[in-house]
Amino acid sequence: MKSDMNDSVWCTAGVLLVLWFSGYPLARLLLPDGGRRAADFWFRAGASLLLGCLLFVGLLYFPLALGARWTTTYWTAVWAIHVGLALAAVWLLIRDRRRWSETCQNTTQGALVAVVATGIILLSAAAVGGNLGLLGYDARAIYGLKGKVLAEQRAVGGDDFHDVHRLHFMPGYPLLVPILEAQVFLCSGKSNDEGLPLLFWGFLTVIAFLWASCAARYDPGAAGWLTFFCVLTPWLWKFSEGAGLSGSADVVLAAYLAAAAICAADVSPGADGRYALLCGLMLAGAMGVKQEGTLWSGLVLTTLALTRLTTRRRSRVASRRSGSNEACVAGKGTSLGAGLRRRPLVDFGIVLLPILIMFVLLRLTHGSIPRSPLYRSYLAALSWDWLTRCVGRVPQIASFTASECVNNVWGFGWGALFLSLLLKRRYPLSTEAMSLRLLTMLGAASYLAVFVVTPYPLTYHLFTAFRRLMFHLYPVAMLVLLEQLTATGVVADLGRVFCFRNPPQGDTVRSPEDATSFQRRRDSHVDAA
Amino acid sequence: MRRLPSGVCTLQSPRAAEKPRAGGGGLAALPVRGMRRCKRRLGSLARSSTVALPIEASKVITYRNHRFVAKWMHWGAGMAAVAAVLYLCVGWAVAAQGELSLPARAGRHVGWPLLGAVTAGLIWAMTSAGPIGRIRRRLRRVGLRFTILWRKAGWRRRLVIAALIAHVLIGLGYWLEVPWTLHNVKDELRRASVAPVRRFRGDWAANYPFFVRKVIAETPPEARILYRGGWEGMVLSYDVFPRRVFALPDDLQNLAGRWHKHAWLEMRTGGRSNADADADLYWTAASRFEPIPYEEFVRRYAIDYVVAFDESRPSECGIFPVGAARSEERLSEVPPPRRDGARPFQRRAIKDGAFATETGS
Repeated sequence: MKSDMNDSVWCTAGVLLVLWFSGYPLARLLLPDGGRRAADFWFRAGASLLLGCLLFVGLLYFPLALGARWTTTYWTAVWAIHVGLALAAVWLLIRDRRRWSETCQNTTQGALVAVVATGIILLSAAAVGGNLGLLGYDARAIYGLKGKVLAEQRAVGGDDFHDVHRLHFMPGYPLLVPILEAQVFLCSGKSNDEGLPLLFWGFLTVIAFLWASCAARYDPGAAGWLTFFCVLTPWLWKFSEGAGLSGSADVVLAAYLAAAAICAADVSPGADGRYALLCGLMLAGAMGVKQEGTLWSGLVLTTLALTRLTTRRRSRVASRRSGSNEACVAGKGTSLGAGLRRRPLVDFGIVLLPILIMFVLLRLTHGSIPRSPLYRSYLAALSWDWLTRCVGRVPQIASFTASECVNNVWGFGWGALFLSLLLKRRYPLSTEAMSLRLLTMLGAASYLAVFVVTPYPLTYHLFTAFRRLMFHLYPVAMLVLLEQLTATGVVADLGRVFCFRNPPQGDTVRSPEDATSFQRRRDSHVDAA
Repeated sequence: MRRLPSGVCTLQSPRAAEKPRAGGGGLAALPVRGMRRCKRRLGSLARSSTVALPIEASKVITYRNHRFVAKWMHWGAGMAAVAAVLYLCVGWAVAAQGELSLPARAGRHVGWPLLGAVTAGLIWAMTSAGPIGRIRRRLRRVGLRFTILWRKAGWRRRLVIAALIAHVLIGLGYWLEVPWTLHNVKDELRRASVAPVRRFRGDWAANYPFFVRKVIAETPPEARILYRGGWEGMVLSYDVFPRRVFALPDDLQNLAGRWHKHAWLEMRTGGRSNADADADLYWTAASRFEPIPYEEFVRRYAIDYVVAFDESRPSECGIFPVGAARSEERLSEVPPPRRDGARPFQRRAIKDGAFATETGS
């Protein structure tokens, strides 16, 4: 039994490492240089696992979508590609060693302590993950069972997915997580799930890297401590139902959504189109994890449109004030010239492309799976008859939301976010920060709306799903908090008290360009203009 | 806060700052040129009634040091630290001697007292007035700087700072609890997988992990199982894989109408969750699942075993082979499902905690 467990843990660690490294060349390719080096480094480190998993799962999804199964040759070829990419990543890392060692050399003693403290928290989470099996209900009934079936059948065309009398909870769910779990079962040759939460620990670390990346943009001197602050959220590394190490897919979805939100904030008229592509890929990954990914794709596109409209309005106001009707204006350098006016649609197209491909794959794979009698359609819930019964639900949802926001499992992260919004900013909101805020608000509003119309019993749904949905939002909400804390000077004040930051030179008030917006540097079109 | 003409920034009220302090500690409003002396006198800061600290190179901020408050904070924090350590040590020792299941022994509250001890110790060191070493001097400097920041900040900023500190403390508290929580979870799982039943709220409850082990031990890997019972069936399907688990359409229909019915939910909401039964009625009335007669279902899906599990009724849990040949005679031994949703398997009562259900073999 002990040896089985060790096999399983080693296989999980191996799968995780190969997928992580295999994504690094893609991250190098897709993420342009130009921002702060540390921020780019941490973002690439985080995006690598997400891209590696997406490529791997995408390749294995194709035969399933066509109704075929993974032949041994095909499966081995996919693994060979990833091992090759992982080796290329090692070579790239060795070649770039000077670049990332410079990042380490620039860190102060305080930042080093913060990195070590964050590392201890993350490593302890890894130790916990390696010691546990899948504990959560959804982790076993929804995702784990699919993983075992895929490892055995290597197809979704059989009765395991299509027979409604088979006990299979929600057989139509997307398969990104089950495919990854199936690799562990296939590599170890057993269906033992001990150590499988280690796979989810990888995504939890990705979230920490994404926070570190953004903190390095907002305040490089305090990035380590800001990341430590975020990582201290207990829900990330707890193992109760739905938490980060329970084996539930929510942590994976949260990682994809956080990456997509960061990329979406970087998409601007003159910015490199690769941000839009990366954003689309992350959203495609989110769609492959859970059905909420589709909802978030819509939200991100809405946010992009609204942010673009606001930016254009700002540009018009600025141009009117300057008395000029042409050329570059406003915070993001949007141009009113005819040549650049078409760019937003191109950006939308680039974001939509991976989403559409994933949508088609999911439809082909899961379209023919019959609905379980336990399933209730949300579209059917949008009937007038049902909606009239839902009006009385609002107070219950509001009180539950309030109690969850101050629940200890979130530390006091949500409370800190709401309170920080009361503070006066020292500089105006940048487009990037506005995009993150808009996405958080839209996400929260749509999730609350889901609870209002849910066809399932409300109390049951609140108790089983509310915290999961909050988890999807949490990484993005923390980005908003970090930005707000930097913009209000709280980070600078606390940095001086606890000496984790170099004393500020001159005025502590920083310009928005210096603090958050790095797109100006990347914006070659506008610079050229 | 007010900036004085001499470049001194004071936190006292403007009137108090302008007046020289009578009989004060001599550092009422320290100008920049007094910084060196200020540094030299850091060791006696707590004894002075008003202290000044260099915050930035260009500023000296003065504030009134409430000696009384500092003294009480010092003693309070020290006593809290000692109490937390005593709670841990004595609780552990007593529980170990008497084989008692005290909270400290059970590990439920180890992280929080530990965090309390560390935090109180830090506050004690920060407010200490005695001779100080390098580390305590640093800590005291942090404490003084924090006091200055706190006084300088408005109420909204104070709330945010308090929220950030609360977040860090809660996170650290949970993190310190992790080893004991992990130990408890594994211990609970181990106990649940070796004993068939447990006492739960004054009644017997079946242990699911034990039942899963029993199913795995008593059925071959290629077995096809018909499950009768509650929501545990979905997880059973995962746990006993590669055995295929099926459910009768009637049972699925029954489950579809019982989304609101969970023992844990009733316990957490005090029974208020039953008010949501209307939602289940509304949606189950809209769609009925095509029933299949029991015998036909068993024959169609080549069922080998019928497995029944109900956590609240351990006597009704069991594994019933349908028969190697699935003959009509053996099939008739397994009672068909009842329309009222009640479990069909009535077994002997539990005696002396033993698992009294029969396997039928």
